Amino acid sequence: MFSFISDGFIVISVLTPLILLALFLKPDHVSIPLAYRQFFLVLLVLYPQSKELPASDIQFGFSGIDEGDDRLRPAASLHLNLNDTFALRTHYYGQDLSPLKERTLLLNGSYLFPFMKLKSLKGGLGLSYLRREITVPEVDYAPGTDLSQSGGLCLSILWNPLPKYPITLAWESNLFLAGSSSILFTTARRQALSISGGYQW
Amino acid sequence: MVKYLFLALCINIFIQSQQAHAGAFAFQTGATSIGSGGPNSMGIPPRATDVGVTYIHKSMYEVNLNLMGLTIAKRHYSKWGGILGLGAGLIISGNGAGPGLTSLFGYEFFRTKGGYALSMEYAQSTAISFTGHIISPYIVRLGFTKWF
Repeated sequence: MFSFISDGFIVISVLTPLILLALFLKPDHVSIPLAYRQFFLVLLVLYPQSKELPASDIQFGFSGIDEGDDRLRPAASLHLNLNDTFALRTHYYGQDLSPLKERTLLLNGSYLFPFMKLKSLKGGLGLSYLRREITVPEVDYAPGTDLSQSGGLCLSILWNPLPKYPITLAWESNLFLAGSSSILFTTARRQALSISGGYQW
Repeated sequence: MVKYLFLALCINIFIQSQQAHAGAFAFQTGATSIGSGGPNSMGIPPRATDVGVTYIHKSMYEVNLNLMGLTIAKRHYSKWGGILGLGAGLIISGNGAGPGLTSLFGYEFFRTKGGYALSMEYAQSTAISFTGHIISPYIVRLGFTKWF
């Protein structure tokens, strides 16, 4: 019990000043959306109510996908959590750059294990699958589809700030090897920061 | 004879795993991605930007210094030997710097009786830079850890 409180206290006491620092030190011309600030405040207030994770749940949400250039691309996500042991997560996103159309599906399955003695915090280790399809419609040249697929490693941290409810903040990385250069640790990554909520049973 | 040797090896590993350590230093090198599309290959010999240093206290709090920034994290050893860490610090990327979170996944191989171990880690950070952007550098690194 003591270690639970102390670890939770450490996490919160480190996070809070960092968030406040980021809010106060930012230039005036930069505005962080009010919704984000309210969301963090709600988490900080309700965090002490944490008890334990739900057994199984299905969740829908939004995610930001970073493809290595510090830009978050919006995506729709679906999260299936089975007995707090396995998690299956998908992200679907794309863009239309007329006449090109790009659609990407990111799918990963992870084994979950407890982390830092906090029941609301889980680490995940698993496999990822990426499928990107770029289609060119028939305009002035021949239509075609470029399909690229890849498999990799998925490493994730899942946090349920309100264990009474199936809400998950996920920070996951999908690492893909970059051919022969991977011997020298060259990799490609799809990082997903997501918020999801849904139904538990 | 072989099974007795195997038994002795198991006992040795068990005793070794029970040794208490005062702390450790880790020297690792790897390819860092700092928001410019992906990491360059690790240099041979390693470039100065590839190298990172970690000090691990006996309480399992660690201080990391590398191209990705200066962070403090708490590391946790899982039952199967994996390392999972979570912390915070000053994060640096090609697109800015700011306070943020860091996490690491790793594994220690072949810890010797002298306290040396081969370690491999994947560390990632995400932060809000002072200019208001989200930055997310990461590094895959390999090195050795000296427990003392």
